[in-house]
Amino acid sequence: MKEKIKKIGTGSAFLLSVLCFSTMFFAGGIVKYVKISSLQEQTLQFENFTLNSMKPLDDGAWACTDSDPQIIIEIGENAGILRFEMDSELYTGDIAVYYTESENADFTPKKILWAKDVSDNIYKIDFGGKYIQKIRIDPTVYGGDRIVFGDFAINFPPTAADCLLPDFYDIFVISVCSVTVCAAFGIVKKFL
Amino acid sequence: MKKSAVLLFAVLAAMRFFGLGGAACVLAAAFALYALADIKPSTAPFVALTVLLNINILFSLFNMLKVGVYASAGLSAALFAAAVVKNAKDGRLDKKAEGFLTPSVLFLIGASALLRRFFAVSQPVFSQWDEFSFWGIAAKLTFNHNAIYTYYKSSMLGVSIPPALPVLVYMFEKLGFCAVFSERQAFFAYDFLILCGVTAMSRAFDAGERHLSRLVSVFGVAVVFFFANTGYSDYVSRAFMSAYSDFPMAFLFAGALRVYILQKDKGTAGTLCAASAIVALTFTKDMGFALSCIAAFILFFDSVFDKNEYRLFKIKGVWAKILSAAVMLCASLGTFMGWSAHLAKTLSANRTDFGGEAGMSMFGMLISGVKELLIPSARSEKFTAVTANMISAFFDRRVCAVGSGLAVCVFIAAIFAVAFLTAKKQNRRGVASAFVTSAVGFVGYYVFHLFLYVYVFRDEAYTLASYERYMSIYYLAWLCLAFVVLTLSAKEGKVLPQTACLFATAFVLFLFARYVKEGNMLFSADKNTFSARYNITQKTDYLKDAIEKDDVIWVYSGGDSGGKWFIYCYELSDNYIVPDFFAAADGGLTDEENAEKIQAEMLEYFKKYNVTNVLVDFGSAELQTYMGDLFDADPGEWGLVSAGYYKVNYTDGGMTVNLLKGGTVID
Repeated sequence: MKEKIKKIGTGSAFLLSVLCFSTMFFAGGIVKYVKISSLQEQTLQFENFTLNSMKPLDDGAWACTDSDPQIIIEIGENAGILRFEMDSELYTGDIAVYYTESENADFTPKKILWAKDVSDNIYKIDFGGKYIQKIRIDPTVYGGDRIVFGDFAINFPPTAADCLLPDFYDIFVISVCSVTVCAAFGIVKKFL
Repeated sequence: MKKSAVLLFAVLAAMRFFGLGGAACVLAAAFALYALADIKPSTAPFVALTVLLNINILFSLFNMLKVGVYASAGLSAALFAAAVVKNAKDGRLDKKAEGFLTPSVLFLIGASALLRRFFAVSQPVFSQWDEFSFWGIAAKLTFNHNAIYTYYKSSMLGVSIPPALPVLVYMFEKLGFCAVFSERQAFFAYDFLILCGVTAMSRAFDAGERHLSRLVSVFGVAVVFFFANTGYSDYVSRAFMSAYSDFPMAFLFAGALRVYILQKDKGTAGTLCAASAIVALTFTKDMGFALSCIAAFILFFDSVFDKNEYRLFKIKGVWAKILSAAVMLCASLGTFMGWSAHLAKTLSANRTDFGGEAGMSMFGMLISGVKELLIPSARSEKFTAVTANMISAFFDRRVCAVGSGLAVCVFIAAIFAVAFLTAKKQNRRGVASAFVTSAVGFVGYYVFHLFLYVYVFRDEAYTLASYERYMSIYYLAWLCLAFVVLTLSAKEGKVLPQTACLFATAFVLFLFARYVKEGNMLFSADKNTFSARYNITQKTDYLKDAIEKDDVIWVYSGGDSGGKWFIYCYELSDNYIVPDFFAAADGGLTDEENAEKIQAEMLEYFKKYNVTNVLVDFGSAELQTYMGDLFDADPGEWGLVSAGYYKVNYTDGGMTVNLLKGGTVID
């Protein structure tokens, strides 16, 4: 056994690590896909949102009265992908989505995601299927911005690409993990 | 020609083809350094980069920057060809090629390619204040004029920061065949410098223990994120997407230390490589001079405790060591004074326009500072207050993901301790010397910043503005130095230091994973991340066809503290944006009287600068009340998504401001 391990070169160990972590990534992606496609899609009515620092305008749009507008809603169930439409006059700055996972929790910077802009004015956030109590979306950081909100849907059906296609961040994580594990293996191999 | 040589050629050719021309140039020169001068492969790219950069800076000082870039590219190609020919003749080409492609060099190539590809997809742009007030606009102007900013009139006139980083960007833009100034290529140039610095950290593992060199690369990259985020944040960190000088300075400083300490022949090769890095460091920012002095100090003591034979050119022993330190100090001092002389020569006609700073020279500041430090009774109130703040900041203020300065020092000391205990007996003094001298250097750096806050900064001194950024330069370099010293012990093959490397990396990664989420990293940046910038770009794009090349513009944005103004300077870099006009309304006068007074001051100001146009980004009540009747179209109506561009018409004893183009800038 020892001899077999010692024979594995660092090059092959690296490729093996990459293979291993990539498989873990795809496996995780498949599990997530299965999990969140089983969730029921629901439309969130905009009337049910609590709005802070936003006032309605005559044409159905909303104006932000200061630089920290927020829209809050209770979810209270397992959540997959949140998809919403939002047309802002200005570029909004990063759209932060705070979430809580239990009854009496407050929003903190420890539980935060960012909305990804997938196409014209359509944003998606992936909660991964865990239980979400309520969410708070900070739509913009510019006071005076004028926003028209569209549909909000929770558990929007995921595409295979959403769960399985690795983006640059995933490639980065897989590389870093593979390299670290490969180095650890090298140390173990050396002192075996 | 066998496998490795073919691979090397293929990689360099591919890089040139994919817009990585600057990187290919550096790597070709690096191979030549390795094959001809026996500079070890991990440190060669860093050395090659600093040498090429210094050559280009020198050319730029004589207004021959474009010539310099192509000359240095030609030099790099020629050296590469010479290396190939010489080694092919000796039959060692393949061995050299294989030796060059160490895991760390492969990491450099791979990471560069990934990063460049990512930038092409996500297209990040400048978005931070100082990128518009200096770093980004300097690079853009250098590209557009093919000369550094001391040679032409621009909104940047009077800025005295040295040109190393803008020249670096210029190199990469030109060698990457950019037709127009590309901001992501600028980011890439900075990141390539950082990656070369990270690659140089793995030098100890070039010959053996190669599995550990990958660990060092991970550590080096993670550490950048480690210092860019001090805790949980709700915005995208600009690590690897920034034109600020902090990380390049940290890596140039650390690199100077590394290429010396890791060199087998510390005398000639080590001194020259370190001197090259020191020149680049001093040309980056004035603080680089202070860091260079500290580097010379650390390296001098390292040479003193080095038991191996030490030769600088033909001189041996103690005199060689003293001469080596002297060479490094002179390199830095010469660079510093050379830049001052250049400024005096090129800007002599405009020296009177320098504004801002307290007007004290660096040496004057040092003298006053030392006096107040040593004589408590001579201290001003500001000095005492800032000193108290700085002392408590060391313990309380988070500078990185680990925590406060104290936490970082503990981490660094722990790494040095392991290195010390596991080093061979004869190397122990060297390790101790590295720790003690770098700690003394830190104290000096800290005190120097105390002086900076007291004498140069105004109100921001009390809150220690940019404290995290300035301190992170030294901490990052110090942490990397500690790790590198540990690798010297690890390469001997003992289990404890190797495991310590693993734990240190794992610790850094753990903190990184805890505090930096996917959303915080550069990979999540999209157009909304750069909103402050794009909201203004919307307006300048709309007004572009009304703006002519020689227009001298006064930009007005009600309620802006300066951030928007700098973005306008950047977007309209072809035009001269006049320094902002401030007029105070006198409480004792009526509105009409104030209007008359302010309009008279404005007329005088406009005539002084030959202002031809006015751009109103955001109207305000003051603009309306005091200057409104000069405008033919109401300037108060311009707001978040609209702007107006006006022409100034001087009449007998006055002026009118007439609208050229204005309206809503979005569809």
